[in-house]
Amino acid sequence: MAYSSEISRTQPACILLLIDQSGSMDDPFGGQGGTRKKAEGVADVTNRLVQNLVVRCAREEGIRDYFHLGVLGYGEKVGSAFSGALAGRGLVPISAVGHAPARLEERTREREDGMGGLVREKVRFPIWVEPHAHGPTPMCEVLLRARELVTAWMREHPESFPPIVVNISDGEPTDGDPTEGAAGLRSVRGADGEVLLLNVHLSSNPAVPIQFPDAETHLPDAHARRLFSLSSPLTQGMLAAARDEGHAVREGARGFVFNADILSLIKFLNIGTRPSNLR
Amino acid sequence: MRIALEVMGVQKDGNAPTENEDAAAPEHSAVLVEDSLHVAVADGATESLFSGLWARLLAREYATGQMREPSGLLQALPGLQRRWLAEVEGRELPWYAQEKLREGAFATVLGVSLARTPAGADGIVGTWSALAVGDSCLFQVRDARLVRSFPLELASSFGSRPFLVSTHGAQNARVAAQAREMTGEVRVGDTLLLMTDALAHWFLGEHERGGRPWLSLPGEDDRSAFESFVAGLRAARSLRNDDTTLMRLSVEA
Repeated sequence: MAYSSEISRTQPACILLLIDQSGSMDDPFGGQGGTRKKAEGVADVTNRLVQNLVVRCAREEGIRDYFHLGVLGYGEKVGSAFSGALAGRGLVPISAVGHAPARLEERTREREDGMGGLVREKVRFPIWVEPHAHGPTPMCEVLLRARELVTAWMREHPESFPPIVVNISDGEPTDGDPTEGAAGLRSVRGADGEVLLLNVHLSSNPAVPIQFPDAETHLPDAHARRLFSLSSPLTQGMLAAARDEGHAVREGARGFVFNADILSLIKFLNIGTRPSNLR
Repeated sequence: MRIALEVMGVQKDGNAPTENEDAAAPEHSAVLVEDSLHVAVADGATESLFSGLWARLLAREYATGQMREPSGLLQALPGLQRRWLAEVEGRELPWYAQEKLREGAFATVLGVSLARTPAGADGIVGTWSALAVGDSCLFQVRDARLVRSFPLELASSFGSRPFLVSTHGAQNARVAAQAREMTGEVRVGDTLLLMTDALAHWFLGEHERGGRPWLSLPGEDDRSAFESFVAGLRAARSLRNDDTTLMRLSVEA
């Protein structure tokens, strides 16, 4: 059965994030009323995804290399979006990622205290990727680059869970129709199935968030519909994880979210028992 | 009551023995002659930090005889949580470990208590009571039949996201509701088997296919017999690659 490979240190999984760093990322997120720029939203989503993966791999003795991770930016140039010590690197073992954030920001977070209240606590928030918003949106080019990276990786890890590519964008490519590039990327396969391409659409359209639709009929614009069409159907594991998180997903649902978080789909990757009371 | 206790365990393939997050209490095989006996296995969740330590604390606490029912577990939890925190908080930890510690550690626990009763004509020499949170299982075998399976009775009931006992009070709101209890009688010749989830899942599947899996389980006389038994099942993909623990209690008289 496809998408059932165990994720282990001897058989790691690969996650490659593609982040839109074009000029349009200077626009406010969620419409003119929005107070944050999309570029900040992208950087935030990316840093939280990376942090989540590192923490999931943390054990008493350090960070276990259950994943190899890369971040490609596309805007003025196409290439590694890591800043700090990892600048310029492609796919990196997650332990190296965890040990080398560019910096640690201090943030305040609210957490449930278990008695119905909230407590505020200071946390250190690691930053690997900074907001950028310059130039065009070469999505076709980044899909091609992604294909090269995951093809080389798959050759080294033919039995592994297939690479997961997460494209975070506002959906307006400037270098042509990305349909073919996306199909080429999704066609890269190993023993356990084909590459999964998930898309996160951060839109200026203040429409309500949409997660894991199974048809494009309710999507608000052409860009959203196109990113939907590029997205892989959710695997059985992803469907189950999405349902565990409270989403009413149907068979045929795609790995696509509109103005929403994709973290729940990364959480489904099983690297051992995950308690149901751990959120 | 004379009980032969055998304890066997092996870590997930690819891990070091020190990375085994299962726990058993007592940790070593022995022949015990007691009026009462408390044993436990616990399975720390791979996705949490210092969960092997948490599993050991839970199993050992049960084996002291202090938490035989859900109310005992609820009473014991705050003290155990403090002990876990005291052990891990003193350490200088990098950012990711500090972040992970906020999530807490998680483990299943399955405890079984045996108490001697006056010998009856039908061979009954005692009673057992069991307490479980999560998917570690107890099986009772009598006269070449599986007579009890607890808390799960079907191989299909095993999921990848069981409810577990946490080191964090905020995660334990449903512990009392999720804790299961069961009691039964023991006769001379009965066997009680405690297993963590991967082995329990295999055991129930084999039984559902008409097999008598208890006959395949090796004795503890040498560690390598259990290791090769587990390795064989893993190689055949009959057993999930996970930390694996088996405790067997043979009621002798």
